[in-house]
Amino acid sequence: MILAHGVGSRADLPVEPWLFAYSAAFALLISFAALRLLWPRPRLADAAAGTAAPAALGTVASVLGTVVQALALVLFGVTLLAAWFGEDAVSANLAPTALYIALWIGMQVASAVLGDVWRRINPLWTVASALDRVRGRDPETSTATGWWASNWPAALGLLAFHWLELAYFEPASLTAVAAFISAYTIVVLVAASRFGAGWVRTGDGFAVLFGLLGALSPLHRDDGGRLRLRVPGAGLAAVELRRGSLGVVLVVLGGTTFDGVTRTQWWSDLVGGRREWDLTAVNTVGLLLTIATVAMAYLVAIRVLGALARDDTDLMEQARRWGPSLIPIVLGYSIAHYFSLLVFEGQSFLALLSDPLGSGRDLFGTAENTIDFTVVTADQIAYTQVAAIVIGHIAGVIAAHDKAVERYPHRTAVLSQYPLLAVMVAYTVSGLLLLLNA
Amino acid sequence: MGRPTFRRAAAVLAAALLVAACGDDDTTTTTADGAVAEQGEMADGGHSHGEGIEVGDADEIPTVAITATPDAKSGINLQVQTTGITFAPEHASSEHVLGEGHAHVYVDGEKYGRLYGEWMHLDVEAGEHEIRVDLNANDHSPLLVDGEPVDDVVTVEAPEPPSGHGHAEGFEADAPHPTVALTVTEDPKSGWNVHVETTDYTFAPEKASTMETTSGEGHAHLYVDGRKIARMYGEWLHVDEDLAPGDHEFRVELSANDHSPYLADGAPIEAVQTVTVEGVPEDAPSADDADQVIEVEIANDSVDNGGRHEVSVGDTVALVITSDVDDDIHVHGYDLYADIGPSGPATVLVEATMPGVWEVELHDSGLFLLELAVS
Repeated sequence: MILAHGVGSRADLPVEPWLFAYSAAFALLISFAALRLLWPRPRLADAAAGTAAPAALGTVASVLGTVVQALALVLFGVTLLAAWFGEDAVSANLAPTALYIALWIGMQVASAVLGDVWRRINPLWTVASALDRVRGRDPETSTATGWWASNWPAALGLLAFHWLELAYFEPASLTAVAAFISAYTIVVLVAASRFGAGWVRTGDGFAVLFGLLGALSPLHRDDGGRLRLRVPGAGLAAVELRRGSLGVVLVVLGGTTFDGVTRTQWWSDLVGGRREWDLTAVNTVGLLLTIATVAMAYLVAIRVLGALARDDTDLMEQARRWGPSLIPIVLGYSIAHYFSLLVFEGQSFLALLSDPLGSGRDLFGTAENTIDFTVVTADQIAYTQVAAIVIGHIAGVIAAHDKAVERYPHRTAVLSQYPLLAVMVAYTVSGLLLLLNA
Repeated sequence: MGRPTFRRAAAVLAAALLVAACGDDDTTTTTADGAVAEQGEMADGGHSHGEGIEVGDADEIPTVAITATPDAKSGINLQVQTTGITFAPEHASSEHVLGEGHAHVYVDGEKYGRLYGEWMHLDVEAGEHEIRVDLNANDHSPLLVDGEPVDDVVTVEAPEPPSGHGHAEGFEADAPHPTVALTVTEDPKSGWNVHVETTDYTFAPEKASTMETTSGEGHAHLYVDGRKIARMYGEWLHVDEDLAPGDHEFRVELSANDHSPYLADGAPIEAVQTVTVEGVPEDAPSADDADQVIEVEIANDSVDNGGRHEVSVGDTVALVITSDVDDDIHVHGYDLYADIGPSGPATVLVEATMPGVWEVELHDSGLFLLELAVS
């Protein structure tokens, strides 16, 4: 299969070489300009708090949150029902599109725009916290310690998701989707029942990822739960990565990169005529190698950075410190790889909502809707892809710079940024290269 | 198929996780019964047949009386006794001639078909049905007497068809063997008029589906392109089939009362006529109309000339596919399908209106053929 990423019948055209050249050059220019022109003192930490949003907006958000929480729970139930009992065809069953489009891509974009809304509407949280209340426990707490309290379980969950999406030979097969959603749900709920619903905040990979992306949003809530507005991306300064958070970021960055790799001619020649488990084996190796490469590049950069800055803090702690600057790159990659899929398959999601099980229902009158593949042009898609990667890159550079001037004297700060810039340029150029060779 | 079983078994687990009450999984679909479908096709599309023709002042005022009895095997045997009208199938759908015409049969208010003789078999579902028959002129206008249609209505219960199907082995007819000849003509209005002429043979509708197999009597079965259309209880039958352009084979086969085919020296007694419907068959796209032709050959599970093909937006692309296996090809996104197979190359015309990279693969085996990069 040439078309990766779970569902979808269409792949994007390669971007034009001139577009590639201009955007790569622009990213490089920005990177070096950043060293000279960006602010000498940290700014983002102050901006991260933002200003109070109008009270009315907060109220509307709260009411909407409760409504959407209920809807998300219903949608989750319907998706499970469809996965197990619905018609066995991607085009007729809600479940694959709900997982790969609505949850995976839709929520990434929604989190970056609206903030960490998943924290409020996550159906696994809704179920786990309700169970805690029944048992008379405070749902916000988690008694997990050690590995279980870290984000590593979340990283593993996302690795499993990426494996299903990108490595397994039948990602849209209903059996696979049903098994994945059920197994994931069971693991999260069992852990939450053992440690408390608070575990969902750290152990559910989707929750952790969407939470991190939420830092990019202009909307956030302060400790008192009041809604506040801030400059988009400023929230990165306030992100505290815990153990394993970087695993989440790098798994997704590597996974999305691998999605691009599988669409190159080079990869399809490599895969040759392999099918089924043969194909799955090759894909699995490819997925793990890609994640490892992306992770190694980052860690090497951090190691060099530490040496240049004469910073002898633990390598992993340093890696976590600079990690938030990768978050906008994650979003940029996701948009570059999934934007057209969201636009087109999102339309089929609306149709499938009317007939989730493929049983001939038409609940909202949209069941007969077909995908209009002309709502965005090929050029618009290409510009969006390139823009997403370049803007993600710029935001990453700014976040890293801001952190550097906060941490080190200006001279050291500038020096420390070379390795980090190098790895970001590498990510950006390889991301663009994948678009060029799509 | 192990998968559905597995899914259902594992579903118990999933059900335990469901907290939202989401309604039952009502996937009932009504299977269209062959008889019902056929009846639907015969419905006349609501053509008006004029105001009707007043024949109350004719020398012999037409009358109709019908008797409907359940067939011992399936459906209903309809007997229509008329006076003052001569069935004129050869003049159906032409000018009105006083004293000539045919009947229309309605089942439960829906038009079932035309009747050209005394007997007709109605292939209806088991259960109670209201049968109405009215008399019509050759031009299909209803005959009226003092402004009222000449009709009759009965209600009859059709039997459950027996579970075991399949006709008996065959019934060797006594000499001289019956013979049958078939003439099919296109009806000027709709469908086909089927005329059979037999020798040494008598239609015995009143004995249909009985075990009484008297040599030389019985009924006929009519097939179109191998598909059973109806029983024939007389020389004439109207078949309201809308046939696609191309050749179609009508076949009539004589059978005994118990439905076992008559045999003459071991061979069925039948007659065949092929009719040709004018017009261009729909499913024969030609590569001549295309801006770009991509020829692909599938042999031994591998694809020759696969890979990516660049296509300009707005062009029409002909995919000409030669294959050593039977399968369907599927053009993703454009959602075009075509049968391919060893019998010859298949052509699919793709109007490349939607930009993007689109996969073309075999639908059953999943073999990847090529990509259309439309830009």
